[in-house]
Amino acid sequence: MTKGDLDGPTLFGRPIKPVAFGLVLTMTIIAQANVRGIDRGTQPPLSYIVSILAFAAVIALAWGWIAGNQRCAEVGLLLVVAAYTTRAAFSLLSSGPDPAVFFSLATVVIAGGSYLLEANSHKGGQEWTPSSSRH
Amino acid sequence: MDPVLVQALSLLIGAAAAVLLQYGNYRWGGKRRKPEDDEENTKE
Repeated sequence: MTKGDLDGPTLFGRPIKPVAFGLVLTMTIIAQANVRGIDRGTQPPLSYIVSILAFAAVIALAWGWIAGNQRCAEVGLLLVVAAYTTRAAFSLLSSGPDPAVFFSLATVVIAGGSYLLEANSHKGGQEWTPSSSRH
Repeated sequence: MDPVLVQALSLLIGAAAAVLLQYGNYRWGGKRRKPEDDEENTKE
């Protein structure tokens, strides 16, 4: 069990990670919005790079949870930080201190904090494995 | 500012944030175990 897990309930025998699940949803929205070019926080060609980062984050977080791969999950959280920081920086540089900048920065804090919790939980403790959910 | 420059700078800032977060956690993160601690724990 890591510090990002709910203590007790499991889903398909795996620990429930509310922050990681929420970030998968937001990154799915970001990925599809950037592919379609309707994300107001970016512009092509940057939007295509952000969508690739977002899609990679979704894959890494999902695979980290399904396969119980702690390293993969941590990489996914770092990709969320990279995608949202890019979006925040572009919004700030192109249109000034817009609300989109602060929403992006808030997500960076959430994902970065979750990364620190996940990355430090397994040192000397349990990793993100299906069998570790009840420890 | 040149739009391409803004996009490149934004991407650079995003990548730097992720790298700095990982390096910062590696360098100053809590609960780090030193190799000598592991050696000490495995001694009979």
